[in-house]
Amino acid sequence: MNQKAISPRRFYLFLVAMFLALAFFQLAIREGNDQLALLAGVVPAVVVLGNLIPVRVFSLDRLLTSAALTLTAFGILAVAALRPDEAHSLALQSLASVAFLLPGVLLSRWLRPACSIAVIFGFLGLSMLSVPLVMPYLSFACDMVSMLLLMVACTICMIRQKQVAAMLLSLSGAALMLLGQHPVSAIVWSLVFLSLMWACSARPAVMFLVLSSTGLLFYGAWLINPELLWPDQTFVPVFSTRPSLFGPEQADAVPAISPFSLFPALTGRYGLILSGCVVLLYPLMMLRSVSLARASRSRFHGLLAAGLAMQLSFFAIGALLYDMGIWPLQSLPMPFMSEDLPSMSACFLITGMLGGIFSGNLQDLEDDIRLSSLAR
Amino acid sequence: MFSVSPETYQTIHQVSRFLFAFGGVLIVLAAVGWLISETREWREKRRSLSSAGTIGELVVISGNDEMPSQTWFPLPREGVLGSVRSCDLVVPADGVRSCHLDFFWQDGVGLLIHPRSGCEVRVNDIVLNCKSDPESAPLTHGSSLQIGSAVLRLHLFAALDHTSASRTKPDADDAPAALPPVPEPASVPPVFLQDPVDFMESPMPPNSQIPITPAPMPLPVHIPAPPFPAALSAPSIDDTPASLPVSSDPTIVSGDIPAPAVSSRPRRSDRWKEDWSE
Repeated sequence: MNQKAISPRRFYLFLVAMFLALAFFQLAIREGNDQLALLAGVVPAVVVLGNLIPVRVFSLDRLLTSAALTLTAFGILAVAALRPDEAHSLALQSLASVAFLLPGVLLSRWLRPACSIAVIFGFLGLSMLSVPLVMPYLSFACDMVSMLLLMVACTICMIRQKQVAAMLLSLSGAALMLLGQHPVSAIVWSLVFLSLMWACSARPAVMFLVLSSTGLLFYGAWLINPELLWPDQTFVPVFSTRPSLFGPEQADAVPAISPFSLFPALTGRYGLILSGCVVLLYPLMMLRSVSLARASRSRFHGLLAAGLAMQLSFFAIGALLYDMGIWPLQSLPMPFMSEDLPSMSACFLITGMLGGIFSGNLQDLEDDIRLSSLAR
Repeated sequence: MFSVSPETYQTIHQVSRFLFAFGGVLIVLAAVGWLISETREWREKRRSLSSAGTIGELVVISGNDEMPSQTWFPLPREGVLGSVRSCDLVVPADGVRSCHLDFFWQDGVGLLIHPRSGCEVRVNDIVLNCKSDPESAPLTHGSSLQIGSAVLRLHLFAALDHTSASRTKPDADDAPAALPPVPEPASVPPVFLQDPVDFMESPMPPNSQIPITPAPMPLPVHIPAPPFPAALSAPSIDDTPASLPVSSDPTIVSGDIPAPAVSSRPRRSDRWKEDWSE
């Protein structure tokens, strides 16, 4: 009897869809809420269809897209457990964010290491960081988007051997983030830039220059405002009580609330084991992104993929450490699991860009296969 | 929408606590399995295409002990050439800096060389430095590159024009036009330790362009040569014309000369393995 084994992708999608359907349905029968019952069907369907339609149309990376959609669905689940009436609005907002996959794909296919693109992206990135300083009433945080633009500009500068220009651009971005009272963003951006610089040209002199200038910048910021980088007030962790492994024993227990991340709500409602499993999806995404970067034929796209992976990873680590009470500085929301529309959109934009790099790698491999068949 | 009693829901909740934790573990395991299977599949694809991602090879014309002549380097589309192992092309020769130059392939133009600050190279006797325009002296098939004390020759794949066509619009009619310009035979600077190897001066033309002129075949004439005297040693190489193979086996007659053993050319990565094992 010749039975074809089920593919890991289908198994994963089946598990995720079943899990989400059951979890939303359980919440629906607790609340007697029709909208949650609707979400029990819609959210798994979107996760599965999102892995079929856009992935096939744009040749995206299935694993990255699936992991991103799964994390988003878990964020909606956390809100549904916490505030059932707001779950459907977050679901619509997440659906709007998923649409940013397309600009990401187009952007990564269009991007070339040209000086004009570096100038435009650098200008846009610095402008987006400067606008809240000039007009404080505009209270939107778009650190991830501006960081993305700056990273593209810096990558182009590094590829074109303009290390000094890349360093100045990076320092300007970090200074503007510190001025805008976003120290964690400045730290994350500096770490991403240092990693990129190390990957591009590991010259000791250049690295020493970059490290010393970045250190001087943060030392100056600490001298001017010590509380910016190390707040004096007593740090209160998000979890007031220690969460259990499998969630609360009582069905009506109220989970912890964090205005910045949905991860504590998920942990408080479903326990440490499930939330730990959800967190493990981030390293998988990073590993996949790094393999994309290594497989890329173009150094520019390889560096870009590595930078995008590092940006997502550092933000996830910062948010996780803050939620666990280890890191005293309030970070940006955890990627893909937040109620912040700009952050969600930027995360899916990054996923789309990684998907575009994946499709480029795939096209190169198909070219090689065709060339080898021609050679025979 | 129906709802259940609090007691029933409490029972469901108790069951689902463990069920969801188990489901989360399964999801992660499935994702890990997916990642591993896709990575393995990708590696197998790459392994089946040994020259994937390369546009040709750089053959050493004049090198040193670490990099003897005819060593060849698979050439990627772009990268860094230098003397340290982190570079894409490692040329351990005198005068080669740790990161000496950047190179990148441009369709229809050739391999463009951009030396880094303070570094110089010679492309077909044209000196390039960091201020030179890389497009002023592109490397094409048969071009020579002198970097430090090493002289390398570029050997492009003949099917490379197909790659160029596939990145734009595939059109079979103008495929020959997409070939990079073939330079005149390059005059290599006189620093050879041996005579230059006779490579093809242009990519191999299609079979249809080769004129087929049937020539009269001479009848085979077998002239038995006397056996080699056992007491005599084989003639020295210096006494033998270079065109004739030399055998030290006295039982071999000249009419049964075996084909010379084809020794594969040394590849630079083989040397890397030795280095790492050390």
